[in-house]
Amino acid sequence: MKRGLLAAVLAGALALAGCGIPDNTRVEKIKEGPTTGFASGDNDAPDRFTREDATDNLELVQYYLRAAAASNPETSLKQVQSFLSPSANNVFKAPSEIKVVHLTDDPLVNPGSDDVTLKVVTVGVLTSKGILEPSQDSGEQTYKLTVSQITGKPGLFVTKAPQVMLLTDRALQDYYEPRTIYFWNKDHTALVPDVRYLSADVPSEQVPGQVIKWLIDGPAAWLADSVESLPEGTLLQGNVPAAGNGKLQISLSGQAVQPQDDPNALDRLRRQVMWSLQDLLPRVLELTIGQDQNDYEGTDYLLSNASYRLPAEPERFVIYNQQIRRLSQSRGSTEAVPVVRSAANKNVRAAAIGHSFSNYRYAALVTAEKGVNTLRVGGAAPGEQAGLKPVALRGGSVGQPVWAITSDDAQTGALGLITVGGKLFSFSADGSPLRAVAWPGSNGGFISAVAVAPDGRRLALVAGDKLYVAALDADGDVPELSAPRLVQVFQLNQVTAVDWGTETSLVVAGVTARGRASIIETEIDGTRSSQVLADIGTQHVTYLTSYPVSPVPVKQLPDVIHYMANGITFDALTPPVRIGVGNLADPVTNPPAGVVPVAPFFLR
Amino acid sequence: MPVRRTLRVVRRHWRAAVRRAKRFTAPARRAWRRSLHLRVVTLTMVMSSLLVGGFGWFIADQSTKILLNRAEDEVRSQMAGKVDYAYRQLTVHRQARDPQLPATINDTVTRLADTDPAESGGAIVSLRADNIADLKPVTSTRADTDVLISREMRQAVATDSLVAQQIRTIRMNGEPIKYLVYGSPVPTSFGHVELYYLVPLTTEDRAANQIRATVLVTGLALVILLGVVAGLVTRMVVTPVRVAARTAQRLSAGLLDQRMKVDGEDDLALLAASFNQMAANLQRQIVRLEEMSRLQRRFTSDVSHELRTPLTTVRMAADLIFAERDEFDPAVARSAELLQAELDRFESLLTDLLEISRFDAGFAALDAEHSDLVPIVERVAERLEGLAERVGVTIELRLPDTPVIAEVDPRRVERVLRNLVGNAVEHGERKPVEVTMATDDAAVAITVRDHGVGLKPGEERLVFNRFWRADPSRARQTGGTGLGLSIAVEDARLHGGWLEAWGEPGGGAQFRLTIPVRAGDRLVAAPLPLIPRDRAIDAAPAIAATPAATPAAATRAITATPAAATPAAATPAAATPAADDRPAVAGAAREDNGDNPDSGANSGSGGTPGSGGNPDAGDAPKTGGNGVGEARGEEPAEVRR
Repeated sequence: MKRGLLAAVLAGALALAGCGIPDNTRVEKIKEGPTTGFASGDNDAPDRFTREDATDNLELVQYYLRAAAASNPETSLKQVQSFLSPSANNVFKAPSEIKVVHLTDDPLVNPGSDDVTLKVVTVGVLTSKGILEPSQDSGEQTYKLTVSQITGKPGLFVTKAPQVMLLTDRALQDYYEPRTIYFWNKDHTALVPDVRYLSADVPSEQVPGQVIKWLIDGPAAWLADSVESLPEGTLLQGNVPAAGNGKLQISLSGQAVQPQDDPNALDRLRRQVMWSLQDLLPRVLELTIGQDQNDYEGTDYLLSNASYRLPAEPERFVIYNQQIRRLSQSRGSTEAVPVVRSAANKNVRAAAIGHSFSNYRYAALVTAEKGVNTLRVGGAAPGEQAGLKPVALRGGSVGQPVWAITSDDAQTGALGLITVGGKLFSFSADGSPLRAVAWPGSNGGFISAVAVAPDGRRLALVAGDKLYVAALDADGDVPELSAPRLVQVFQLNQVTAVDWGTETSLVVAGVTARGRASIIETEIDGTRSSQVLADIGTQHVTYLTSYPVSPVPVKQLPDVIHYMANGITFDALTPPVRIGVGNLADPVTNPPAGVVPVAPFFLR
Repeated sequence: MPVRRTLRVVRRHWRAAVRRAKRFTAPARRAWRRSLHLRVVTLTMVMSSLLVGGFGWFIADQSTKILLNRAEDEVRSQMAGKVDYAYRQLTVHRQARDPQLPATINDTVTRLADTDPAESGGAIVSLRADNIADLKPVTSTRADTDVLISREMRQAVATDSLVAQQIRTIRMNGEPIKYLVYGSPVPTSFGHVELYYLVPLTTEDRAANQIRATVLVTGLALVILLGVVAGLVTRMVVTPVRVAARTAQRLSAGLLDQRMKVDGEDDLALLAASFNQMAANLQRQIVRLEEMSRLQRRFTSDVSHELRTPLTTVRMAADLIFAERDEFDPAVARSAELLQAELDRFESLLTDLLEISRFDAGFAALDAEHSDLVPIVERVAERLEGLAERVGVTIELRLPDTPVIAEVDPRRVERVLRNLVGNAVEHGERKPVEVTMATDDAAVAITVRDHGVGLKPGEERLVFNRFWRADPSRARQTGGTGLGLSIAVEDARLHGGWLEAWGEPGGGAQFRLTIPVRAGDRLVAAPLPLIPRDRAIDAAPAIAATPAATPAAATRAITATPAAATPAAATPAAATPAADDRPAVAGAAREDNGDNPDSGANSGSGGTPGSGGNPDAGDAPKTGGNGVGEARGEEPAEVRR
């Protein structure tokens, strides 16, 4: 029975062999799959017009000039090509950027002719990253299109088109949403806005992810030297999921915080992200850096934006009788003039008072004594006065001084800008001599005004009667300007004065084609503008100042705009109201005749 | 019919295979039957194998389940996080046609694969959208997941929206790798996509295999150990038993002084002591019985010799009276004749007794010589012719034409034949008696057939007993000592031959004497059947008697074939056994090698049929003398049974 034994052993071995992990099993059902769906937001995409919608040549051209609006270059090209006839399509070789243009006149369509003529001014070039880059084109351009029918195919076609994708500024407003993202300035004292254009086709769920990608891609070129990009190697881990349960989850690679484990760097990052997503933030932001996950809630981040930090009500000042005076009906009207001792408050022609994050005050006064202009600068803590140091001003007419960089540290001091003789100079709070701030590239012309954005890094300049914006790079020994961008202000033939109205828009005074003075408000890229005071007579505005409003809540116009025309100061209400002696905080008995308040400014 | 033919072929092959298997396994089966040791070891190993196998299976199965469950729990928890991540990642896409969706799927898969813990090395993440035609499946590695993610799995997850798992095996670089495939739907705003997480079970499989191997080796070692232990223990018990068996065999072979070795005080020592005591008692009894038997035979021999002397004297006186009977008055003359006849019988009885006692004492010797058996038979028939005529029986001889030369003792053969033919004539019932002789290379057979009353079942053995008679009350026709067939058997045995009987009630009887042609040869078969040809139709298989004379069987001089194997019992005649006093049951009595001195003594209590005169033997007039009955064997007309 050895065989029996063998069989038993074999059977045992086989039984054991059979009880390992099986090679294949049946499908084992664990449970029902998750059913939690999510309600997708419904942001209504604007209407689209296709080639087939056009009934005549004009409509076709109008629709054609909207066709390039899309969430990505491929779709833009496809949509543009859908208007082109096959033969035009074959030769259509347009760059992927979209040229945003302003039609200076309605498209010219002569009845009976297939040709359509467009007269445009280029506003900028919209890149795939949503940045509106300045264009090399200047002045008015003419584009010619041919529109006709093709046998065998319904509707009209663009049979001949310029080798460029055109988009009107109107279509940009319709099909894109300007979004402000923020980068820290080099001092980490304020977030600098950077405007991007987001296609309305992008679903709301994808907007946070898009914003983070923009942040990672870095600032627009003109800001690049003035702000801090995110550290090299920063990556978005996956998508930014749609916010659910009051929480938005963002996961970035560990390199996003440099140096690693630096709580300040992490805090800056989250403030930057929170401001960039400010209108999209639910209750909580869950920010994961590498493996570290942090939840942030509350609104303390808002303080990182200098525009937000500004008090809602400005402390208003004017120069009256060569003295700095407070205006009534404004904040702090009963207090003494900051920094400047009463004894020093004389012979003042223009002044600027700025404050740092911790409210350290800096004053810059342009005084004229015996025909010699002198700049006097100094800084003091709130409620205190300090002696002012004189800085010599030479070389022509002197403009309004402005503080750009105001540091908390008195030793570091502050940096201000002033135009002297049509050139830009910088000064500092320590009384060191003026330093010229070069205008990059070719001479832009006579600089008649300079205005600094609340973040202290972006400038608006009026040079050669044109409006420019530029970024200030104060890192080096000498402050430098980035290449100034021309801002097209179509309503004005000549720009005479400018100041910042919001963090992304300017209040501009100038002369219209009809020769009338006008005050308008425009985006800093010129894509949109509106009239503040359409017609304020023939007297040109020589000086304008406005008190920027906070981006929260969103406002297009500043609350307070003062301007000077013909030597008289006006409060830009509707209609404008003259600021007189009666508006001074300290009543003046026996006011001298012919002496009026001039050069209004705000503590900012 | 091809099917039937095929079946036949299959059956034939099957039978052949079974036969071959039986032949091959014969030694094993024989060993199984004979060895208690082997049986105990085998059964122990089989039982322990079953037990250990079952236990091992349980252990291995449970371990595997635990390993699998742990892996499944791990995968399940991993999967929950992965599904949640994928769900969140996909929330940004409203439509399946979103151009960013493939990028998101790619990134998600990469991310999910990257965040895998190191211990699940080689895990594969696959995101599929089987319900959305345009979306291609994305997998974290280049492995072909179509094999791993089975159609059933996809059906369960994609169509039935179930979370499901399955174990699949694929070959990678020639090595089979098991994967735990776990799938879950991931809800999106455009339906759902399916996330599959494929974790290699390499570690678990290796652990399970190691456990299994360990259990197997341990189990095998345990079984072998148990087998060895069982073998040792059995050997401890079986060895003394075998010694006892060998001792008993030697005892039974006559070596009565064989004893077992008593070692220790345990049960086996008790067995040995008891065995020794039994052997001693047996030896004592056997010696005593042998002595008694010897005394009895000696007594018979002595009595026979002592009776012969006075009988001789009486015989002489009786012969004288018989010779002068004519001169006496008829009544006295008649008495003289009676006296003469009874004296003849008495003398015959004495002669037979002496002959028997010579056999018993082992003095009988074969005086073999090459003789022609045909004249011997003819002579016997001739001498019994007178008796036959008297009872109206004819003796028919069926002898070969050529001489039948065999190495025999002619005197003893003649005595045997005379006895058989005489008996046949006596019980012939006036019907012919047939004497047939045949020979082959090895043996000569002579059958004597009568058609008289026959034999009852069982009597074919009894007829060879001393003084046995079928019907004690039956009137004797001829004188007989009741020892004739006993002597004939002894004579046949002395030749190394057989003497067998067959009979059935009413069917007559047949006796067959078979003698080897060369003295000392062993008989294998007889040239003539024991059962007559006219009866053989019913009883052919009855001649199953084989000459295999084992030492154990030698204790009986006459061995009967198993009665149950005699189909003659089923003949109609057998159904009426009472119809005649000679039963018709076929039987075969065969002489063995005859080395047992007690062969005839143990059944010699009965009387010879028709030998009713036996008790009357003492009535015979004593004639003195103790003559030996050698001369009596020559007497022609007497048939003794």
